[in-house]
Amino acid sequence: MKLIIERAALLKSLAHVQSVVEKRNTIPILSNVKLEAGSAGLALNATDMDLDIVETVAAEVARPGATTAPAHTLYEIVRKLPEGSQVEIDQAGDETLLTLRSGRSKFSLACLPVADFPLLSGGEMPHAFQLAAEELRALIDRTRFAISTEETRYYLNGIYLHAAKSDGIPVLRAVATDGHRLARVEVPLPEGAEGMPGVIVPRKTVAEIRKLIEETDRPVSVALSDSKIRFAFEGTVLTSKLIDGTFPDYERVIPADNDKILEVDCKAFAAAVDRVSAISSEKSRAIKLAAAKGTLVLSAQSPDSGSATEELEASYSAAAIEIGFNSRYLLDILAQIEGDAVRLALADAASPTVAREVSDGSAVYVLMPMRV
Amino acid sequence: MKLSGKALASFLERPPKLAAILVYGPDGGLVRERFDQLARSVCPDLGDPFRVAELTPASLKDDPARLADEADALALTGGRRVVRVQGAGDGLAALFQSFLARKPGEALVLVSAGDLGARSSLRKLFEDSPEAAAVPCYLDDRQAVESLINAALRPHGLSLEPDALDYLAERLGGDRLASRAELDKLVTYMGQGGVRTIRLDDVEALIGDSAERNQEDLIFAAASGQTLESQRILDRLLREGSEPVGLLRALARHLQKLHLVKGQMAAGQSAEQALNALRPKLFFKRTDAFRRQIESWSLAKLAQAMELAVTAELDCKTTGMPARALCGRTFLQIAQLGKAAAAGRRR
Repeated sequence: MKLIIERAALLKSLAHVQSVVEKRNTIPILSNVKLEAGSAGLALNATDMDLDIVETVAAEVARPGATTAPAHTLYEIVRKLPEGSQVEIDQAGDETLLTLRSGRSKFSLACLPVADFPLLSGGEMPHAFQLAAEELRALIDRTRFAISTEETRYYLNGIYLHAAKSDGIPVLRAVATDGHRLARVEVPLPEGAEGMPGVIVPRKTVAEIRKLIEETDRPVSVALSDSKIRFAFEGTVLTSKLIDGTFPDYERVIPADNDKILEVDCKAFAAAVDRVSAISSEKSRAIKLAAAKGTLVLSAQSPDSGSATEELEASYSAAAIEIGFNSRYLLDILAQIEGDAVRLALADAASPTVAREVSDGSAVYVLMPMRV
Repeated sequence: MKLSGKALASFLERPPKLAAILVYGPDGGLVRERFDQLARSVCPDLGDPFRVAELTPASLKDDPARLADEADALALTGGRRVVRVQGAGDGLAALFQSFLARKPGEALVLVSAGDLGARSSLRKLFEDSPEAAAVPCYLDDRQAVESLINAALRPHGLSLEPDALDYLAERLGGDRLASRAELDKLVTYMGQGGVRTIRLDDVEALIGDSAERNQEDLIFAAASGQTLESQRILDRLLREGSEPVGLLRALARHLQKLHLVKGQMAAGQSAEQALNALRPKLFFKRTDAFRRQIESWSLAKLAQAMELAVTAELDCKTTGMPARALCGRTFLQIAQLGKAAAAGRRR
């Protein structure tokens, strides 16, 4: 194998694939990236056995061939090469060594046989559709904060993606919860997604896709089966195993008839929550909201550090209510609201509260109160 | 709340509404069993993500507020919540003290710990607080093991012959869950219908530690002077991963036992009296072989053999010494002493 490639192009692709490679691996081949030079250019492939990414980048291929080299080392080398330089990758007679030249630098890297590299992609994906980049971005950004990090609840360690109906209109819905709060976001159901099974996309995959859509505005092709999902961007294909579990029946958590409606300026509210919660000590993060006609009073108390209150103007006309929340969860949700105002639909101090943007109903957040 | 005896039994049967319960004790299996049982009394499905939270002592050290946050949180789906903290120790006593001092939360905070002594601050805290309780899980004594065995076997129409019950009771009791698993195995082994009385052979066939039985075979072979047999069993045990030091120690203990009986006989007791005085009692199947060994070994030879075993144990613990080879040689030497002793008896 022999090829010449622009440093910038190689660095960008390596950055994408190397982030899939775990820092510590018990199986040596998984620390490596597979390099395959062919007529389409250079294809880079990395996997952690759950997630597989292939990226093809233009290169001047002098002699086709394939090998595997340590991903993080290769990335570090290319990152440190001077900007604008060209990189020559050469594997001559010795199959255990890969030579990398650029300007006056020369590196020899230990290789592992390409035949040992595991294949994850493949398998039939009966459901396929296209999703606009900004829609996929919205589905991920507005739900990922609620993904559980508790490993024992593996079925909550991802985003539940499924086709549903909202007021009779077919939608593609993303849901995530950690048992304390829940986020549900929907976009119009793309053509081809009808009848797709509900799938749980793992947290790591979500993070990798999010990095990749940052760099594109083109529609993303999504294909999936019961056990795998594939996202194809320009030049990059990411295939991931899905979480094999049953996502809880989240619909029963979202109350439909909370009648006490509170509307408040989102930014001012978030800043006030942040300020008031500074008082809640190491022992609890509870914060109390008291809504009465036209006002919202936030307060927090701590036996060690004292107390705090702040009053906000709000649109509220129902019976007065006092309710406690975990300030961290409340802030997380307020951070998702992009518009000016947030609407909280309350029932009582012990029932789930629904939060949504006043101007955009596509995202719904459910937050459980706390006893204060 | 400090619990024991009948109060403990009725507490477990109908747990009162408390803010926190500590389950601790030397019987890890029983701790686990009661921990789950108490959690289920609040939330029958321990897999319910909305009503069951798991916290680790490490996460509580990093972020102490999580305890109160989880205890005060209300379940999205309604119902009381359980907050489980497994593997706690005295390091968390201060956190739980401030937690219990405030208004107790809605949820049940369940804490499990290993064996906590009477002076443990965590245990004292839960015993003294009116909002909390401490549930001890002691090792099953003989009576408890027997009732556990009967409770497990009776519903299946099974009963045990007395010697089978003895054998079984002696081998169970270290860990409640392990004991239950062994009894389940026995029930499955006995099958449906057919023989309904469990004999010693049945119990021997599947209960207990085969390594332990092989070790006893090894020691009896060596002390009886069966050179070849003892080397054969030793080879197998070492291959299966037994530690030379453990084997040598078991051998030394056996020789001490022989020495003790011989000494008591020299002081005027009969062999029968000296044997009966042994604690724990000899397994009856081994009694004849033990009696023959008492007859053949002299006090002086026993002292010599004990010396060999203890020196070998010390050598094995010295860095760089070939422990397996040392162990093999010592067993050979002692088996040869045993052989000479047995030959002497025959003459």
